[in-house]
Amino acid sequence: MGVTAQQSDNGQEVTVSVAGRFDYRVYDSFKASYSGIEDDNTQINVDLSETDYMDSSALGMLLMLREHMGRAAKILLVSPPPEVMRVLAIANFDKLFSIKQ
Amino acid sequence: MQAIEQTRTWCWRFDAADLNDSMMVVDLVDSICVECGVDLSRRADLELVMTEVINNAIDHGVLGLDSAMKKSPEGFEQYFMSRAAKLSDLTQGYIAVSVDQVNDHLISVSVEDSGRGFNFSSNKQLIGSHAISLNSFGRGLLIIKHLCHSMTHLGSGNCILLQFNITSNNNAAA
Repeated sequence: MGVTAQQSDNGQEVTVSVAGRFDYRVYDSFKASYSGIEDDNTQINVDLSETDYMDSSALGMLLMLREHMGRAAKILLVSPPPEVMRVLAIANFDKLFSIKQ
Repeated sequence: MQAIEQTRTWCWRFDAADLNDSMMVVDLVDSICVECGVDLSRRADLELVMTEVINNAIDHGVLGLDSAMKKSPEGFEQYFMSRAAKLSDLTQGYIAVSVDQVNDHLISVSVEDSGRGFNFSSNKQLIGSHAISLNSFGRGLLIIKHLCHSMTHLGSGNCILLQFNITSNNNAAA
């Protein structure tokens, strides 16, 4: 449960996995997972495959990540389950972020 | 947390100390599901709706935080930190929840907070806007509106009234 971050072998990608609930409670650990990344070209994969709950506070945190990395950053939301995908779609986040099913 | 049962109406009152309990919404949703016979398939939606409603009531009602803070990344961070700090120091304020069973398919949920309310007519325009997701706020209300049969603000904006479909066949309410 919680947020974990892993850098790819070539150092060009960081995968941030959010397992369990994605809400206010993981604010600190979610922010810590990317705040040390200084290279704007790093691709961020937010792995949502183990996320079983997401609300608007998580949507806010995704926007915060986007602001931190810059508008041109490559951010990929990976494998959101149907319940999570629906929340992303309601907020039109499927148009703001790239989503890999 | 104690539910007071009247005729098909259940009321809860959460005071300052209750609002800092991270399990508050989950416990409340469990109670509503049991009391009103909410279909298992509707539980996740109810939890999401109640989380958004209660968070709004806490943030903008009881704590008096301004969503406009969230416009910049720095503001966003400040908002989150200020929320956590204010919530743990909270000594006054309340949220009152009442649930009525309208019929076999619908419950009516009212959530009132001790805050001064907000101008809900300007939010109406916000929800109607296609650019909504780019704004840093209003997404909670958008989720509530999408998942509920109806959503109305009452009073000075410190009370929200929702109708929520509790049966698995929710096409009529979609």
